[in-house]
Amino acid sequence: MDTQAFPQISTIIIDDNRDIAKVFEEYLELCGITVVGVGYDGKDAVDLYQKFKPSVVILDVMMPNFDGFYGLEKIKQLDSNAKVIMVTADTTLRTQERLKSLGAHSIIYKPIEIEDLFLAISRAAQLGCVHN
Amino acid sequence: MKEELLFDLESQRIFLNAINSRLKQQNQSTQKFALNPKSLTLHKTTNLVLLVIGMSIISLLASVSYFDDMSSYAKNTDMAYKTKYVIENLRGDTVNTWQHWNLVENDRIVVNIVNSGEVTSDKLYALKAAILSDEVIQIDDSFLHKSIPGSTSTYYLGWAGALKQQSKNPTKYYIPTEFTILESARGEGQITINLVTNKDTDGNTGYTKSITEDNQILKSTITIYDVDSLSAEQIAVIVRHEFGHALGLAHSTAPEDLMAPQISTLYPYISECDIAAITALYDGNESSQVICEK
Repeated sequence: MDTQAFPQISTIIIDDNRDIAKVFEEYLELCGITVVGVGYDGKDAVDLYQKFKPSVVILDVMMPNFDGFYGLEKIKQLDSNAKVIMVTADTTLRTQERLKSLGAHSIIYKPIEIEDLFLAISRAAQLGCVHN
Repeated sequence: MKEELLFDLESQRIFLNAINSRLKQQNQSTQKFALNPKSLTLHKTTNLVLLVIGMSIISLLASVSYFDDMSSYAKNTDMAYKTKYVIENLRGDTVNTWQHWNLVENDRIVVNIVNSGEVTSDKLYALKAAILSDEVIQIDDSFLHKSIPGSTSTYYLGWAGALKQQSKNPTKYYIPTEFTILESARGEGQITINLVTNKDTDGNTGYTKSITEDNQILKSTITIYDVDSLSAEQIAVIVRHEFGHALGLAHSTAPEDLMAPQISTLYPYISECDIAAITALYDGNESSQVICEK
């Protein structure tokens, strides 16, 4: 799979698993997406969003202390137009409905496939499908 | 949680493969420019990828012991959450509560500070203020990510001030509002605060144990560990939290609250929700849920 560059897309990655956050960052940077910040809980997400106003937020749901629900809710309160892609292993309808009601742009389920991630990012950034 | 970690490892594998593929492609296209400084950058990135692969293997190995730790942690928290009350805010955060004190109106609670002599007067002053202060502050809700800027909430620096404010609303059981502080080595008083220099083997900074009977607290003992290395302000925060337990509160699931299991908030003061929890507890409303508006 190959991807073309995503010009002018900035993102923040929030995941309490630092290894996976690092891998995401590395891969997105290689694909031309600017990762302006990496955080490890929902509070980091809010702080980084306030600081950088990225085009897209990639936000894990299950995190200790300040979880993804918290981060999503607060980011949407700060900016109702924020594009937040939620990442979770929880496939229950309850979680899906809760995330939707809080204003998640889309949900990606773990384990994450690269196509899913890029489709979500391109849709969130309103670029259409840019992978080939 | 276990499933999530396994999925994370699988996601890492997928993305590391993708990174390798992409780097191989870039390497092939830049081989003929071996002396180009950009190729050096690629080698540096490759090293990073190898480092990440190593990290993921280590995390896989570590996850085995992590699961062991989690299972023992779960056993411990099972004990801590034997509670009767739940206080919940709009986000679904709960403040579980234990038993309450059952005092005659206007009765005072005697708090005895057992100081091994190591704690300086400024630390003792801060500790007492966390109990006796009636100072009130207003904090913008946006600082605690509760709302957009503009609205504020009231916080109390000391439990006496918070409880006096609350006591304007009648409750079934009398809420203690007056405290007498002693410094005696003999262990008298309903609430004892032990200031010790040793560290807790589980890493706790504070610990509260209450003895109860017939749903009422008879005696609470607070231990503050490693007091030598704590500042006056840190001691005040820990005492403020532990004193909440001594009054009957358990932990809050709201991470920004003083009563969160791990005090991580920048504003570790007694919140309106903590007071709502106390009100419910002393109103005898068993198995109740109180919804905090913030």
